[in-house]
Amino acid sequence: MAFARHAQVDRKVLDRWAEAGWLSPRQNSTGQRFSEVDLARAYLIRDLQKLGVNDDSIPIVLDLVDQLHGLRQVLRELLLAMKLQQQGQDGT
Amino acid sequence: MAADPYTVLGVKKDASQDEIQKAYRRLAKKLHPDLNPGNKKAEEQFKEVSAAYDLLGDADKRARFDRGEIDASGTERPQQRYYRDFAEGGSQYTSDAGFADFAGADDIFSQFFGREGRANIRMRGSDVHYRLELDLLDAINGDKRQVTLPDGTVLDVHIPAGTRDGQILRLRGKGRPGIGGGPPGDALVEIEVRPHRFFTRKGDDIHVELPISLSEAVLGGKVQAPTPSGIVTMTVPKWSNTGTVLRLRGKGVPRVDGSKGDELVTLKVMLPEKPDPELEKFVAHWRGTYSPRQAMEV
Repeated sequence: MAFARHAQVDRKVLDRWAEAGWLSPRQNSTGQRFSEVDLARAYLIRDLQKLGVNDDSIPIVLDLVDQLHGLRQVLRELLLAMKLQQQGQDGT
Repeated sequence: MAADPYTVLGVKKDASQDEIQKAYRRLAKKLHPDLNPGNKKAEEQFKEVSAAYDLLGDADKRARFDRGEIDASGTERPQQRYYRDFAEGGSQYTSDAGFADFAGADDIFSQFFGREGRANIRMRGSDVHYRLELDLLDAINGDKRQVTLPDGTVLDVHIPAGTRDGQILRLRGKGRPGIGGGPPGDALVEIEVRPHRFFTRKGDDIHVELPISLSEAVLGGKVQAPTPSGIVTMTVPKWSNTGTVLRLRGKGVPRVDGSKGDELVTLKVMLPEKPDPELEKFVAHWRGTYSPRQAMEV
């Protein structure tokens, strides 16, 4: 599969990570479909392993990274809303 | 050309495999884009560090590199898409566990921090800013350009004739998408006009310095002059001195109303580049009483 080759991650490994709950690929009629965001997450897992993060710690790191992205997203929306409100007051 | 992998990792040539791994881990922790999503500069450095470690982290590859059998450029990686590029737009993985407790309050914050509130909020997307460099003539005569946005989409930018340096072109609806069905923002393209070899623009007029020969200056005649829209023939009057300004009407910058600015040609009398014995002999016989420095009282 081109995707796994590109990620330098074996398809069997991807399936194992999905089973462990580290990846949540979409299901379709032919089985699991790994999308680009799954690929990028697989890269991150591979890099974490190279950094010496052991398998027990990987889900903890992933969870914190996901929370961080959730917070960054909300912060961005909040800043944008404040900017728009400011612009509304300035009448620009 | 890739940098020396030992330098990139900051280790000596005789470092042990263990030291190399430690150096890589120390750098990668600081530089990994997904672990430092706010640091956009770290990405390039992380790429270098990873490439260096791909080479030196493997004892066989390292030995072959040390013997000169392979070089560092062989390890350059293909462009990697990082998780942060997807995660922040919201994916199945995005988690609100970091702020779910803020959502209970019955105030403005619940709009943002509650999932439900966020689904209802409707906002215009933000504007995005780009810079586009143009040659002076393309800006004056108008042009079409394609701008590739960071997300890979290609934008057609129509440069209207007469575009100025620093002008901002607004492309409606080409900015970031709106939130909750809100309209998208605009793309704002700031134009930077590169200076031209001999044309300068002042307002809607074009200034150019035109060299003429001694005989053209003394006797006058027809000379060819460049304008932004092409070469034209103009008449140099008899006794035209250096600094004489001639106006070519309508040869300047097009205006929005369809009219055009002028081109102002400043003449500059040039002697031949190589000494001309015939001219020297001729001038030696010329008895002039004119003193050009009279006004300076010298």
